[in-house]
Amino acid sequence: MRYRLTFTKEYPVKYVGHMDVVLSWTRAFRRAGVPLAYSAGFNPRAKIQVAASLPVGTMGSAELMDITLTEPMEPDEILRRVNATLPNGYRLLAVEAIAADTPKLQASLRQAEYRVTVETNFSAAEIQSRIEHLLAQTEIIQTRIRRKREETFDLRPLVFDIALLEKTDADAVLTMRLSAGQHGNVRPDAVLHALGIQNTWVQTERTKLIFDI
Amino acid sequence: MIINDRQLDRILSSVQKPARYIGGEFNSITKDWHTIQTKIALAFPEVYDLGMSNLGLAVLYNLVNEQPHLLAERVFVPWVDMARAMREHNMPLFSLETRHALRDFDLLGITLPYEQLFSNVLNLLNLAQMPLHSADRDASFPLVMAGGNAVFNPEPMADFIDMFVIGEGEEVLLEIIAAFDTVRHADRDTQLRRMAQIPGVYVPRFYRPAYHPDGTLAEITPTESDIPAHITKRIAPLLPKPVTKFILPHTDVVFSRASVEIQRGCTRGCRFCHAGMVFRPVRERSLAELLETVDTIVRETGHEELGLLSLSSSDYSQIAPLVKAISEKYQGAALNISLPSLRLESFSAELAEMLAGRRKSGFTFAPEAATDRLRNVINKPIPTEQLLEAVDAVYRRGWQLVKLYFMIGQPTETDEDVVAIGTLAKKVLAIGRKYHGRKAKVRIGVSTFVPKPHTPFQWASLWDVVDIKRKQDLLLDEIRRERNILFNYNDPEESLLEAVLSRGDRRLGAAIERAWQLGAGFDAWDDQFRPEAWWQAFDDIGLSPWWYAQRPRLADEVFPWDHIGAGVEKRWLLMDWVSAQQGETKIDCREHCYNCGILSAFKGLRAATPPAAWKCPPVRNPRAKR
Repeated sequence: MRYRLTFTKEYPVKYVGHMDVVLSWTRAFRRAGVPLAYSAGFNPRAKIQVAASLPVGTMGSAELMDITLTEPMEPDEILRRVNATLPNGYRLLAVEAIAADTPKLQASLRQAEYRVTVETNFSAAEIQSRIEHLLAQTEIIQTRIRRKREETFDLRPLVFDIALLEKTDADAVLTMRLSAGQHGNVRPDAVLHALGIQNTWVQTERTKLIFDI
Repeated sequence: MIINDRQLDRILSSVQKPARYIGGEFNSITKDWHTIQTKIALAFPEVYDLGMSNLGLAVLYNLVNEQPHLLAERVFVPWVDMARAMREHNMPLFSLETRHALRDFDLLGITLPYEQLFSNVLNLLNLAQMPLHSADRDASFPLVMAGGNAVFNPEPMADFIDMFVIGEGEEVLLEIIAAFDTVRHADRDTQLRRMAQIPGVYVPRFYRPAYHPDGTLAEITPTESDIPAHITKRIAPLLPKPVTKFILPHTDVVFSRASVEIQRGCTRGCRFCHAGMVFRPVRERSLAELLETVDTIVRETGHEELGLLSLSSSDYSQIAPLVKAISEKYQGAALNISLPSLRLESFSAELAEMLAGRRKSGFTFAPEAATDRLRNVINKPIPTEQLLEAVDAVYRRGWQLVKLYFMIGQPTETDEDVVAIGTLAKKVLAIGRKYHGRKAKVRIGVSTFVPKPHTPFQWASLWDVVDIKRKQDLLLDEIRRERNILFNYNDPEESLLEAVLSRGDRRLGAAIERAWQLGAGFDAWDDQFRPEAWWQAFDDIGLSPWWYAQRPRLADEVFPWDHIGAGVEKRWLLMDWVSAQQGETKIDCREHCYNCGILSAFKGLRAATPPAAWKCPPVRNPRAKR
């Protein structure tokens, strides 16, 4: 019995790493009496598959995970029971039963949308022009550390859209649609870096996962 | 002062494992700060990952928070990177629940189960932006108290702590908080004078030590007439309600499990064992209460690991029915139950097998010494034959790895006793080979014996670091050629520091402070322990580690902890120390009372408690016997 769950990960659990997130959910399902299936073997693992792990520090407002149960349970019942026993910062938004052979989410993830709130002195006009300038480029070479090695990559094809949503005295709120998943993954801080927006404080929220199914 | 989300974000973006510092875990308790008058911060002076495994802290946290008019919040010591970031941002140490600065609390309770935490207490006070010395803190600062096993000798930390709670904190903490409320607006001396009237509370500023010309202690006496000369520990006559709503840490902690204390104390009387002496008398929980507790924990936490805690699980009178009931009930529920400290007997393998299911990673025994002679000296008299039978049963039932814990450097130990550890390990491996061939393994963990206050071995000397290293090498030589014998041992310099701090006096305060200034902290971590800072500190202050750790102590020496009573009398400890040197053993004291002093110390409490609740047998009148 497979189910697809939509959930949030907000303050303060945005700081919890992926493995520990899975453990928190496992325990919540256990407390809620949701009969999780476990893998066979020496160290049985609960059958929970999160579509895309969130980087430590990033919030998520519509994250997805698939779980497998040993016996069926009404989706509404799962939603109600689990929401009653979740740690602060997690919330279950939706539960739907899915067919056992539904393709795994991880493989078909293509893009993600973000809302990025950043502390900056730049004016709205300045930010706007920097966004336009960035989107007008055909190539943006950046360096990043991967597997302990520095490598260069082209950021531009990974950026689909950037927009300034709001500018207050202290903060700017940007939305971004970026490449995500196995075929090219990039984090919003790389975009902030390319925009030349120095941040003393930033809050990133992944608002939507986009799949190619 | 409250740290807000954005302030915290600014520094958490640059530190490792930020989830250590955010609070809000499932089952943590956040109360309305403004409607509660008396607030206590409970601190474990280690990093979150370690502190969250401490059962004592969980007990006190729940005890206080069950009171509607009180609030307890947790504090741990930030790891090195976080501490640096906090100092750079001038951010005071804050509680996890409401992120209030420590200074905003009325009381600060620090748990000190072992001495390696002492330097971190200074770290904690400094990060909280409070003066280190008790004398420099007036009533505008929280009242700082400390409890736990290490404070059975409170003197080394006397400069820094306002008051010590001797014995079982759950018995006395609410009393302390209530008393504090009656003097909340008084000056600090007046507050502490009131605290000193509570049995079990030791306020070091009201005591003065005097020393002989040779540096040994002459006496510690009260400076005021209404201050008690002797402090006896507090005990709970019946074990209090067990914790069930365990906080589930956000990050994977060192011992990630919920735990239930099945009994407190131990009747075996091992002479090196501090816990075995200071946790007397033995008190058990009923089988029914334990089974109900396990159920409740599983329901309230969803935990996959559960530990049944005690100093000697096999001695719990209902151990077989307990294990049987739990294993039947949780078969296939993805719940791992651990049962530590099993006796060296074949039955232990049977017990453990009921719980193990498919997972048989390793089986641990603690013979502590490898020869019959030395096991008699330390009063853990298990015949080698019985030991080998127990190991046989373990391998036979499918375990491939047997772990054996030993200590080296015990009183009267010879090189033969040390080499015998290797010989024994080889015999054990040979048994393992019978069942598992080349897959059989033995792991021997060899720690260094450190003499502890309030034990029969409090008169013993620590062996010299050079000797300990030589003994370790000797053992290593003995087993070097055997690849399936794994060998762990500790740094003897760690043991030297532990030995100094365990039996130190009030003069050590200056050395602890100096060591902290020189960078000491997180002394329990191999990669953080800085022996050179400590030895430099002793040198700067003019104290000799050798004098504290290795100097022979005479039978009539006054010890810095003599005015602190664990219930077991000094004259009894001395008799047992003499017995040890003659290799005389004592049987389990449930079978025969040796009159250690615990029953006379707690006569009234014993009379008011159902007889079966304590495992002490009725004392025969010695005169009538004659």
